[in-house]
Amino acid sequence: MFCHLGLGKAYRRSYEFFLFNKITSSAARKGGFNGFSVYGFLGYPYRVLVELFRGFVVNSYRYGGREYYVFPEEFCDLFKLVARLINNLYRFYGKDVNMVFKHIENLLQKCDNVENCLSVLSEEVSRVERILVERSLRGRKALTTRFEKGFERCRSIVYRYFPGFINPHIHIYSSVNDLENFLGKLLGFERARRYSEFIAYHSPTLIASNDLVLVAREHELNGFRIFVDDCSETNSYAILKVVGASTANGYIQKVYWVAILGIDKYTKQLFLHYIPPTLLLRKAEICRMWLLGLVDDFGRWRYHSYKLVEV
Amino acid sequence: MEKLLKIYRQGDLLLIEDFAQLSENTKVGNALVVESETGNKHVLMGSVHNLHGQLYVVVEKPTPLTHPQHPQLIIEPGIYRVEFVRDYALRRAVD
Repeated sequence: MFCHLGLGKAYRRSYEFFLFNKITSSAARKGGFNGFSVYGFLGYPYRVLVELFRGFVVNSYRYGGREYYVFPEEFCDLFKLVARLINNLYRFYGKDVNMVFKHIENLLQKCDNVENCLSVLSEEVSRVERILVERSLRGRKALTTRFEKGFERCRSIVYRYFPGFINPHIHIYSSVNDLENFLGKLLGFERARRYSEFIAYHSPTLIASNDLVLVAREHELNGFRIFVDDCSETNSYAILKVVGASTANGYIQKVYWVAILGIDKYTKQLFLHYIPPTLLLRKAEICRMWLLGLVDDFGRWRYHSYKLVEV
Repeated sequence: MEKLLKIYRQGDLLLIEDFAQLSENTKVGNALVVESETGNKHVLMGSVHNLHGQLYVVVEKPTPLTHPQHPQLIIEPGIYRVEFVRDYALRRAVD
């Protein structure tokens, strides 16, 4: 077997590699042995590797806008490790591609031969993965603490205006049709049809009509919690910024949605509007401004100077 | 001093000052009437225009925007774009 490494234009045709039993370009045309191939969009580290191990190249050819280098089979393990490291470092450096390349370039300078390179890379992959896991756990813990404090701060608004929030009705649905029928009775069939697509993707979700209803499929409620992050109250409304998330080991695992739950004090009507998840860490009032179209998906003001009069 | 853009909200209805080029050809009515979720109506007297699917209302003099359940708002003269509260789940305004 031979490992074919193809390098092309950055991003779109950046790199791919696969195993094949021949050294000819027929491999690239067929897409690799049994369809096995790995590809990605940050191929620069592979160019450094090719330069480093040019003496091992047994053939090279061009196909489909890429230049292919054929290496012995054991190089595939090395390339897999590099692919894993690129992906991890891309997260580690917050998508800063230059830092990723610099990091790998420095690492590859320690490579004398394939075995030594494999051990250097696998050690680095483990180290970076461990840091990423620790960082992610710290983030989950911080978010959970923030939401717990948010609930304490907004406790009086929750109990006064949204008593049903603590223990909402639960509706379990089995199919999208079943969901649409249920929502149709609550919201009217036109809105139900439009909401059902979002619910099917983000379930369990909260629905506000006269009361609050949590809609979910069977088993989806395991570990699911709705958190309160922030709140605000004026003469005309009271609002809560709520977050639906799954938890694991007591900490937030995955955020499903972010919404503004409110009550219009004039009409005594409950309302619940979903907002973009990019506003997860924004104040409730900024999120409310998104509902009015006054800020964008990242909470940046759309108008420089305005006078808002509302009732 | 920079001129402040006037924005009014009454329940789910938003009026945002705009500088659209409207003409007699785009005029579709003499009063803005918008039914809210409760079935009650927001009413504002002024010429209503539809420009490329977007509603505008032109207010010539200070005019009340009324709704049975909300306090009335006095809308100052100007051209206003008619908008509604947004919802990410619907990817559009709630109307």
